[in-house]
Amino acid sequence: MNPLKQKAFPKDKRKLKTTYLLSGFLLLVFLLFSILLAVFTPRVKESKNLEGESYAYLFEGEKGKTYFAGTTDFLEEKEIEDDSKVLELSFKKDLEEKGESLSLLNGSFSGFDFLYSEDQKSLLLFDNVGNLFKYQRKENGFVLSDDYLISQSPLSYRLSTMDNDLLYICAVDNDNGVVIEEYQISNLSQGPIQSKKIWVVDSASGSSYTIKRLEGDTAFWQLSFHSEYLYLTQKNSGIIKINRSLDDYQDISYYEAFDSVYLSVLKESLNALDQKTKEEYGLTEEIIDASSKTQLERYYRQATKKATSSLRKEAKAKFLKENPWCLDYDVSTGRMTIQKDSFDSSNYSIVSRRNCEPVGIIYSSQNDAFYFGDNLDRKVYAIDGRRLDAVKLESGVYLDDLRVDTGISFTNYRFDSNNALFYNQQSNSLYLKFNAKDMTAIITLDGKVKLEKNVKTSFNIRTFVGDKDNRHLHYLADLSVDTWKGSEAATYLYHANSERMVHKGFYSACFWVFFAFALLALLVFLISWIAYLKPSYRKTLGVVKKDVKKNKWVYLALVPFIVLLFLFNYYEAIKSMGLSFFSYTSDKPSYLFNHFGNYIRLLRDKATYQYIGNMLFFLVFDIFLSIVPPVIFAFFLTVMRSKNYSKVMRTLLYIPGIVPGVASMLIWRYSIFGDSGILNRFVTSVLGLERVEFLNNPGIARWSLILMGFPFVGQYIIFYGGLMNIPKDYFEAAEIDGCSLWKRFIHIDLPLLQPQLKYVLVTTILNSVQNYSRTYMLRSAGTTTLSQAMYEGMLAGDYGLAATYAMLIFVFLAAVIVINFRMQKKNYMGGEKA
Amino acid sequence: MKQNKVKRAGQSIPFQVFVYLWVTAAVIFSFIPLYLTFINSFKNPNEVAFDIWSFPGKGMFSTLMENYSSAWKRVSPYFFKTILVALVGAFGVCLLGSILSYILVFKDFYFKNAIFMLFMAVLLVPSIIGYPTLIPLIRDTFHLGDTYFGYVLPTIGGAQVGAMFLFRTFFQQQPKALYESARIDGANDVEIFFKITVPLSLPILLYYALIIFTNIYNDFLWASLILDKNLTMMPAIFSLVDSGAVQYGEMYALYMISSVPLIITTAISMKYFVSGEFASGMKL
Repeated sequence: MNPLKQKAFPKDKRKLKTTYLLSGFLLLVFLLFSILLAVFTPRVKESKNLEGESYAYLFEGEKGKTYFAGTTDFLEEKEIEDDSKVLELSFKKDLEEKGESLSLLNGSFSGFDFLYSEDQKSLLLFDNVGNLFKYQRKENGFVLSDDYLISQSPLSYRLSTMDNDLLYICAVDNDNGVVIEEYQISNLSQGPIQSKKIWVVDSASGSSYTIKRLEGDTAFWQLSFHSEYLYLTQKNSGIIKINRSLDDYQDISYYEAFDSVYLSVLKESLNALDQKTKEEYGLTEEIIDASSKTQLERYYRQATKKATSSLRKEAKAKFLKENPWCLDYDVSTGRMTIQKDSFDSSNYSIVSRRNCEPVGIIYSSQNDAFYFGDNLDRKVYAIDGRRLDAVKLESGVYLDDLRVDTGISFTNYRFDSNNALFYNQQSNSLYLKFNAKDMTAIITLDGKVKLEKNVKTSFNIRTFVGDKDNRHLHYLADLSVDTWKGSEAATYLYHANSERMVHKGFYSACFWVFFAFALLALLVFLISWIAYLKPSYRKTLGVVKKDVKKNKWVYLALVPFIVLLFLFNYYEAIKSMGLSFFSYTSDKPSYLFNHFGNYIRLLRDKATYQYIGNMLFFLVFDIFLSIVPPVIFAFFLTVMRSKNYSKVMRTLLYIPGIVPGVASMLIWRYSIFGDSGILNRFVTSVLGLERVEFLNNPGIARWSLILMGFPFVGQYIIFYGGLMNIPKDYFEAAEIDGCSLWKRFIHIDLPLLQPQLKYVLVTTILNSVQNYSRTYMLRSAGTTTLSQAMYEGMLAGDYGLAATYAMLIFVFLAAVIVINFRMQKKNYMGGEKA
Repeated sequence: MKQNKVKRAGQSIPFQVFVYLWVTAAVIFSFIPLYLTFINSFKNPNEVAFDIWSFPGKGMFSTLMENYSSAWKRVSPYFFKTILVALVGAFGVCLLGSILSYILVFKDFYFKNAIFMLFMAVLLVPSIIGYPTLIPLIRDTFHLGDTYFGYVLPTIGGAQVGAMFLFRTFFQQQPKALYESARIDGANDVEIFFKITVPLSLPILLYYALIIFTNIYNDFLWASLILDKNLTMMPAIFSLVDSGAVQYGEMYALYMISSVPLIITTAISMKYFVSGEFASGMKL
């Protein structure tokens, strides 16, 4: 051996020793860092499993005491972090003791809402039929106060807001009009101090306003107050501004006024009918007097065979004559045009009408600004509070001119209409919920956005609230877990440190970087260590080192390809494997381990075995039909005497390929197998038989689907190409030997066609098992395969289940392919020996 | 042939008649769907329901205009967009596939085989099993749900391997002398790739581009999963027909319109396809 090389080895060895020691040390350091990062990555923590509690609510509580989670049976006070105590509060029990109100609440305790008044130390509770209860805060719990309110006329929906002792409620009355009510919290039982039906100015022109009544049929989402005004958002109208001192508010009873006029006109006209008609429909004066508007309208239509529109016109003329301040009344839309001096537009108006679909509105006193999300362009806007207060319709200032884009937009998502916004006074920050599982924390300053970060939670958040110091966000999340027993729904209470949550992305990115470094160090360590111990590896290592140095551009150029490969092929397949162990749906995208629930559910389901059976059925026929007839067909093309005819046939055969796959499936579905399709035409008119349900009869459907490949030429062109590439000498030699065509086919063509046969076999197996479109698009009965079940799982958004089906398919295919390769190898080896 | 004294196998008249009949019948039968589509796009729904097989009767051209114009109105929002998406996809796949196979064929490096196996192994992993995770990845992580870019990106990522597999065999068959002389003249890899490899393999590149174009245009599974409002042609047609929104005559006009791009690709690739040349790369 060359003495120079011998000398080089100890030097290399020294180098290797330093390398493996250094990389070993780095490995430990990186591992330590990544473990630390993994531990300190901010997480959403489960603070309570509300299993069995059908209703749970979150609301802001006292300072320091933070917030409460309540259900029909308990109320819990949560301190920051984990400390919590259950306060004594049981609505049902308390109400039973009070006795009188129980009947109202019987079984209808489903839609209630909380409000905590720090000022009055009391908890206000609305139930879904319009009752208002007050609980007084005591040392160890809450006591139902005698000062409560049982609603006389159930109002359908309410939102509330409060200011010291005053409580404002927005409700919808029996007539579907929006009513604003003002209460004194300290004296609830006296009833509303004020209660007004709301008419707002819609538009102004010249000396007149068009006003309209607020209708309750469209959802309104949030109510906010600032100085003298209440603001509420409504889907169709936008932002509506109402003066809090409802005293100033002229009680506009135009609507009722018109109604009474209309009613009297209706009654008059009915009374004026001739006696015979009256008797025929049983219309006595008493009945007419006692009937409601809609009943009267019906009588009128029946008796006179005329529409009521003419009566409305008559009533309108009469109404306008009686009320000179009313200039016009649009009977169909309910809009009324009135003289300007009879209404103060700055107090009751719609601020936005154009291009706006606001969700939630929240006032920040620190910034003197309103914030709202707009679902039309998916952005968050801010409005200067003073400017909004100063809006007068005459000045032509609309929301478009007022609103300031905060620079926060979510082009992909809509804001959640339920609890979209939450504002915390203490830290002056705004929280937004969108897409049900993502949140954004926005720290605001002087009305501007200072910091905006995503707080990813990946729970299905029902509602959320922050505590007073605002370090913690609390979520109520609905999750459903698919176990083998079936789907189990549960509600969990989670909390997270919002300030740290916004750095979650940074932490996890750092973790992965350190983890990657650790892996790299591990690799270097292992290689250098082994090379240090084994001289033969040292040589290889030298070659590799040289190669990497020489071909560094090649390796660099390969990086994007390998990234794409891993991102869209390997990562998917491996993650699918993992996903099959979780309940992961598009609605509730949470990685919740469900104890092999997906697998157990599938294996227990009889349908799964039917899917597997169908898959095998199609697989067997697909393999047969993709190999035997096409090979024969290709062979025939080569032995045709006229080469030109063969070429014409091949050309023609390529033409039907212009029909797209989906269209072709649909043609088979409707035009060939359909009720008036050609097969049924043949069956009924030529054979004179009953019509056959080719696709809806489970016994026939699978055979129909097999027939779909007719005339089964398949990928004959691959075989044809293979046959054409066989050297002609072979055939000539065979001919000279007097070999028959059949013998030639068996002994020359087929063996030489083996590479093509293998290719077609493998691709057919892969395609047949994955082919869901055949059974899906033809909507055939009883032919569902595993892949179709998986596809339908994905369409339904149940990705966990779909991944489980995918795993079954994968296991099956892997087995088939491994067996296939094994067999081929064996054949090959056997051939070599012989 | 006649003067050949040895009686050639398979030249007997009955056998040849059998072969001709078999082949001709297969070709005729494979035309049935196309025939139905073409004929029935001339008819109104009543005529189709009455007799799907026969030629159209009187007033067929006005019916034709009606069918096609209303079908066009339904799919025109998707038509050109789908073609553009398919073109971008085809171009991307061919570019990536050819660069990758150039590296794997003409460059020599230590891990060549390992990397090649890494790519080849993917061909045996069925693409369908990745979809349950691919959808959340594209939609929630990349925020590309319901966009054409989010649709075409994984398509390119997945199809590059198949393209590499095919191009590789063709690149290997190219004359080595050309490459050697180019290297002696001092050309670098980029120059060689664009000035020698691409021009030499232009037919196969174009042909494969047409195949990818057709595949993307024909794709239903991935498109229907990731796209919602920005549909491509196939899911659009399927949802139109499956929901029963389209009447019979118009339905066939819809199919005819949807096959226009494929008529063009078919016309271009016909010669290459019919000779069976490309099939030499399709073997294991």
